[in-house]
Amino acid sequence: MRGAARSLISGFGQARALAWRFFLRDTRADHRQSILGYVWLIVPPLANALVWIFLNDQDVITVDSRGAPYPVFVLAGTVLWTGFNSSVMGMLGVIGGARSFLGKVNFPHESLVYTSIFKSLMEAGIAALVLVPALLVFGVTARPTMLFFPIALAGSLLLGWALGLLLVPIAALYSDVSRALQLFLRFAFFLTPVIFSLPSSGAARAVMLWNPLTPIITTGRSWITGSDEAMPTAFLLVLGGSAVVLIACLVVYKVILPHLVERLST
Amino acid sequence: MTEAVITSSGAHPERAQSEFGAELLVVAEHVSKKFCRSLKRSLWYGLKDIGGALLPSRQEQAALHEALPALRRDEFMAVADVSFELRRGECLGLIGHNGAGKSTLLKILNGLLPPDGGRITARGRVAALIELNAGFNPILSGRENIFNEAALLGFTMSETRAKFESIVDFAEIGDFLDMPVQNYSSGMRVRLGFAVAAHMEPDILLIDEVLAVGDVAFRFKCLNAIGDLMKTSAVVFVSHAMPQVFRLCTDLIVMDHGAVTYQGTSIAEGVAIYLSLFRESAETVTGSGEVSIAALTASSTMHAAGLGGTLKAAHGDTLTLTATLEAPPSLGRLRVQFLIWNAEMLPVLDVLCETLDGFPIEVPDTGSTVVSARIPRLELNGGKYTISVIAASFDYSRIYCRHDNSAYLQITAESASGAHILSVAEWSTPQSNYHNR
Repeated sequence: MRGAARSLISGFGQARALAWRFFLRDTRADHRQSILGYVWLIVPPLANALVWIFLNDQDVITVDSRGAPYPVFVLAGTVLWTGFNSSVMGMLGVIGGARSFLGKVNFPHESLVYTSIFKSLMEAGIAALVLVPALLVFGVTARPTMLFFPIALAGSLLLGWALGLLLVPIAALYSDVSRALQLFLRFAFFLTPVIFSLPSSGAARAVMLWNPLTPIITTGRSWITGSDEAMPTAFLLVLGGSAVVLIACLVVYKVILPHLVERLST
Repeated sequence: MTEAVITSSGAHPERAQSEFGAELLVVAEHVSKKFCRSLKRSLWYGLKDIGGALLPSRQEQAALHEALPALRRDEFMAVADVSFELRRGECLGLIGHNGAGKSTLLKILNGLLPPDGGRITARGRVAALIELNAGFNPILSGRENIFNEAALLGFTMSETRAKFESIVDFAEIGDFLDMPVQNYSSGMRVRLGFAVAAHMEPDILLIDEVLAVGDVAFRFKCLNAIGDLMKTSAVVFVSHAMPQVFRLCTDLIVMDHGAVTYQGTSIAEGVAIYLSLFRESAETVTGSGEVSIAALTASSTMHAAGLGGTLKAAHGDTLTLTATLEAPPSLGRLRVQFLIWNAEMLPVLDVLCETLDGFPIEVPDTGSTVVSARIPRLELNGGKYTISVIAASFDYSRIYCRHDNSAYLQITAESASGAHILSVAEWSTPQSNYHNR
């Protein structure tokens, strides 16, 4: 364990440089084969938000958006949710994506984790840009807290990475894990105040208060809309907790990877 | 220079305490590895091993230093108790049949797989020529992929930039440099991959069969590049190509089913043991069946072997093949020939008469006849060969009998040549002609 931690630190520079190379390679390859390229990064949160905006507009559902225009409210929520969702699934797939050469080349394996981090940072960063025109169109008053929004976005990614990396050892061996997680996340979407605000009472509220994503989304959204739903203490707790879990999981990952390579390599 | 100890506790590098001689780069002590036959169980064991790696119990820690770890259900030893030392400038050849454990051992040496028993101490930068195109993305250009591959092999960005021109020159891909790699021929892809790998500056070099790729000219270029790398490193070389083993190796380990069957510095002796391990396929008899081979004797100056046996001979020996044929007298004239195949099942020598046809014989009234062919000087290269006896009608319109794998030849020749025939000619130059006169 201590040896793994030490080699993570001493090899950080090299692993990060390799991860950057992987990141450039994959990003270039992905977008060279596509006409719309980076537009595809904005589409998922936008499409998701449009559905709920339409339903709300038609009074099919009514949501208390805490004084903010509902489109802005739901867009801020879905940007954070999509960031979390894709960072979990991205992290979960790090081993699978490298399976073809894991057993053939020895390289610092943590660079796969760093690559996934780079990838979700870029994707979430680009996706968050949809907020800018939305804020202008719906005339949301500019406030300095808006500049904090990237922190909330980073928080949702951090939570996603930590959860993903926690599951990687088992997910790499058994495909059941990522299937189950995909299903679980579909339910979790409705147990997280993404398209609505935190209910004031009831079982749903109790569940959502235990959901680590709740403080990140409500706090991040309040920085945009200026609503009173921020949960700063819980936000910091989740942020710190995720960071600790992520680092611990990285050390575990480093220790067990040879065992995964042994079972997976072709 | 870095020192890494790979033990079964998980393959992370730690400072080695051992005292090395100045040039000793690799020490493998009782290295063992188990594999599991069943995938489901293998995954479950993997989960258990992960648990063990994270929370090593006292029992497991004690087990680390046992030479041969206990086998669980469905497990077998892929590598069993291998030990060796390797110094700078030495080249250890690992030979054995498919599944003998050579590649697994190479992966353990490379730190890709954790050993289940024993330990490996390696000092210095390790480079492995196992997979040459691992970092390639087919959509990207050759130029971009050079950087990808180099990064994966541990080059820094500035190292890659400094070596870029030299890599491109070596790969000989010319105008294709900025074309997507998916448009490359397989030979070009391999050349590009090898060009990057050849620019590593390792202390320990691990090579797995990569030489068997590319066109002939490039193969020689590769061999020369490896020869240059070998001068400054300790090399472990896995191969099926005996000429290359003769040419490159100073030490040899022959593996069979995970275990070491020969270890030493006599390459010829090791190769002979390797060749004797060839699984002999069953005799097969095909053809219309009018003729059958009742007996066969293959003999050299020293030895002889019968039907299904193996004759040991040295390059240059006299070979005599004698077959007893059973045939009905009504067949009349027929032709007999011996065909010798190499281990890759290529026909390399056809034993014929002056007209380059099978030797004509007349079936006597007794129905049984003996035919014998003597090759005064057998010039086949070292290796394992199999002999077929063929009896056909005089005009070859009908094959009466084809008896494959009727006997085996195991020929020894201490040569680095990859040719099938090693011909000892009468040579001359103007000087020696003058001398002779």
